[in-house]
Amino acid sequence: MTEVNQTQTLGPVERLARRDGVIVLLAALLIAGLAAWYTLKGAGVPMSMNPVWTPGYALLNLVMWWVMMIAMMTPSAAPMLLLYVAVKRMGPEGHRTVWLSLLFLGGYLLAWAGFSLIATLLQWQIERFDLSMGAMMPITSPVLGGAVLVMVGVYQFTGVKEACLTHCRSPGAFLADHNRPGAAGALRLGLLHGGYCLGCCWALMALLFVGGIMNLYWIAGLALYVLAEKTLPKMHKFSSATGSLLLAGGAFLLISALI
Amino acid sequence: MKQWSIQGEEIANCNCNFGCPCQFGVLPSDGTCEAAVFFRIDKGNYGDVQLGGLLAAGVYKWPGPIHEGAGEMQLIIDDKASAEQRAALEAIMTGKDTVEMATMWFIFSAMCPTKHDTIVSPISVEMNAEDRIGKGTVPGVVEVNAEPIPNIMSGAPHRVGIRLPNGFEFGFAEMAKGSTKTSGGAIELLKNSGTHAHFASLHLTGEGRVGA
Repeated sequence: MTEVNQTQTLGPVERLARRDGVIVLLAALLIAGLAAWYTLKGAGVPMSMNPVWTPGYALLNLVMWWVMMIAMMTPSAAPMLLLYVAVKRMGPEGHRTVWLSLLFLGGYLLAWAGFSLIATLLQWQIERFDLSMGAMMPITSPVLGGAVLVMVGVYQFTGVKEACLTHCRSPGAFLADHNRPGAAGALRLGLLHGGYCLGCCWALMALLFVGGIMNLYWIAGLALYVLAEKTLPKMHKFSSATGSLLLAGGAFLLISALI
Repeated sequence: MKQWSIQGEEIANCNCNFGCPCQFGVLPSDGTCEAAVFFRIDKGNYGDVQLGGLLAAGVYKWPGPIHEGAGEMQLIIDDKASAEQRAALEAIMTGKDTVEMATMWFIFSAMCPTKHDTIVSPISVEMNAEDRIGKGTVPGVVEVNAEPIPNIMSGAPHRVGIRLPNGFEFGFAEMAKGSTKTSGGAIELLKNSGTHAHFASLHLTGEGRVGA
């Protein structure tokens, strides 16, 4: 009746191809691990109370922000990255899967470098106007702190946030729409994915100004929250709940400051 | 990349609610995707190998939505196919010689790291898309039955279709109600009963769906 065709056994090429996913995942883990280690070490930024914002110091801060973002955001990019690997290795560019996947990750992290630049400028201004407890420390002004919480809370409810989160949570559709061949295509796709991810998370990252830029509890907490928002089912309600909590917290800070 | 083209009809049944949430970018009804699909190729070629008149089927099972991968699949190819035709169908239906993500076969295959050995067997397919009645059988392996979706008030046949102008599988499909019974194959499907089914005309090449 039925006869089994044995021609489908795994050849050496296919076995090697299957390792692509492992290689890319290990590389991503290594990058995130190094970034986390560097962040734990304090990113080499001298912790003086009143630093002078020389170009060198600004660059060091930029690197600190970027490394921190790499440590926080790489885990959230993993599902998309693995899907990218699975699709690439089957297609005509299968022999370049690892290289293209790392370029994709590079594009994603470049988008976060853009965020880091803006964050550094903000940090400079906050410290210049003496609104924080010192370098990398939480915002001292309850009005500013409350305003940031309210802003982040409101953002959780906006259509932009929802649109970006939908993109982030539908990697298959995202890949079908935006995938292009070649190295430039991989980098572009990474930048785009990073862009949507930024649209989702930039406001949450602003919370670091409230909790202290190098506060490890806030860093780890935010990274876990972002991962959950992106991957757990039914996160829609969770995003709104977080938004409400932030709004309540911000309102409390603002009202107590004004009374 | 070898040039190929396939024109034909398909009948598919999965474990989701009528309409298949996938078509709307929504997660599967119970979180998993389990499906059986039968293909009747009316006209087609893979390079110089002619494929018209052949039948094929596929059984698929994912622990989550398709795009999360980790699935398993098993193809079944007509025992009337010659060795060359068999190899050609197997290549096409595992996404080879295809632009990335251009066909559902590419995507199914990319999302199924476990590919069970292809079965070569007699296959029979009867399809009437107009009446939404169909049956696909691989004796001792898998059987799919489809009938019209009943109107919730009267039970009379309820006709509804899905148009996907940019779809990678079909441009239009008739919705139906289907069930699948698996027996001797490598994959067991237990949830497909009174669930989504569809009938669609296919026109696919390595570049994707013609007309998309």
